[in-house]
Amino acid sequence: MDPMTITAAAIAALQLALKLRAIAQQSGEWTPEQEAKFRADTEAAFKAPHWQKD
Amino acid sequence: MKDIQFNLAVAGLLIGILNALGAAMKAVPWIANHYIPFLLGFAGGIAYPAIEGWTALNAAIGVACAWGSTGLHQWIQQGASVVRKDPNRASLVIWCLVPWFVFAAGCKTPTGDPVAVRAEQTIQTSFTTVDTFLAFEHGQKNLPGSVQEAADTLRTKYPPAHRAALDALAAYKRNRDAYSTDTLNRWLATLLELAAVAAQARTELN
Repeated sequence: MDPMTITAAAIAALQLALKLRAIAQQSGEWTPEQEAKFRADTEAAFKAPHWQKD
Repeated sequence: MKDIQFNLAVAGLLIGILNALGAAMKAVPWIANHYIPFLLGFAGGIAYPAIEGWTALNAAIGVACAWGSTGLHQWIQQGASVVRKDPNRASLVIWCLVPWFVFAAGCKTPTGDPVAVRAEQTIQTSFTTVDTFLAFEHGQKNLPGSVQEAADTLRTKYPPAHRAALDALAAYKRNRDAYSTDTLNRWLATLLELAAVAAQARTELN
């Protein structure tokens, strides 16, 4: 694989690690508003181009 | 399972001090390198309970801090060596950190219902893992066919499983009984399996 792809993979891995770290900091249950927002955000994400099959 | 509570500030400070102590031990000619982790473990097992109280759990936390410190040292040393030999392996070195971040999720004591909090974390973690992988895959050309195949499988299977897990979580919060816990756990297992597909495909890129 070319160096650009490797670099992009490394950056994506680091971004993922930071996001997982933020999730790990959660210690309380979602409020109904937080749950509704998470549902809405993920449903919006599912409509994004990277979730569509080519 | 009972959550382990520990003082993060003291643990962090101890890891830093033990790292320095390990480096100092390396400079002493009559201390063989392979004894250093044991000596540091002993030092950690004494130092942490000396600050936080003399219990077996605090001694174990101290030993874990010491070995965490040696692990961090090895990650830096070996990671630098791997990247020096082959810069293309940099992502592999960074991926080695991911289990640590995931492990950290188990160290934060939930203030609410642990089943619900862990379920919410699992749903978020698996979504983030899959979403990050798909965003990466979408932006790249010339990836191996197996990676593209894994991505397409996730595009089809993940959204319905995600919705079902959220519905199972809502049902659990209404009832909080054995049946709803079991249903929730089954959907969480499905999400973890799908996240593992993304993680497996990522390792093929290294």
